[in-house]
Amino acid sequence: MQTTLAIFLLLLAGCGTQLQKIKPIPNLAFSVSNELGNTSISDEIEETPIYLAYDMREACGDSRAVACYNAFNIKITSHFLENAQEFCLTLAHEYIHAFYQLTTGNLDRYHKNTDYNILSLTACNQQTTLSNMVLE
Amino acid sequence: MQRTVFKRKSKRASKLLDTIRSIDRLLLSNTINDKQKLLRLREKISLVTMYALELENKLEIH
Repeated sequence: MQTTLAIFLLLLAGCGTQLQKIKPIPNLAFSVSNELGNTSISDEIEETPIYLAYDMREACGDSRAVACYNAFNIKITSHFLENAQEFCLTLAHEYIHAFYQLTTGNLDRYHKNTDYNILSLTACNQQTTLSNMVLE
Repeated sequence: MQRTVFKRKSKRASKLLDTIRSIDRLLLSNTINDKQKLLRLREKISLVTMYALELENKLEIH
């Protein structure tokens, strides 16, 4: 019993350390290395889906957070975001979407007024890969 | 071709500014609950938009 408890506490401590590591910082934790013709997504940018997930969880709940994480992760890994500007524009739209989702009556109007496709978040939601630990 | 692509992106950044304006109008209205959450999101939206515009300006300079 004591051994089980000790293992559990060790695991808990391990999770705590990891969570501490990925704790979101007040401002968006990305920097953009941008030169015309030399736009790249840096390591910091690759961590952005996690920060985005935290923000979305706070704003809209876990399911939206997971959807955002997956959608953004796919965009980054598939090089959908061809440069830093594209990255910022897309990220802004994710936050805007969350904003309008919280003001539910206005979400439809937002979609009518923009040609931006939220990159089939519903489809991405099916491919949930985000570890529960990240969101706990 | 490069110019056409830039124009399209520029238009998208301007649209974001329009959206921020309508968000502000919404925040000023009294029909919104839980303004704190929305204000935090508003901060993030403007921060990322400013990044996008900054990058756009850099592209313009080049």
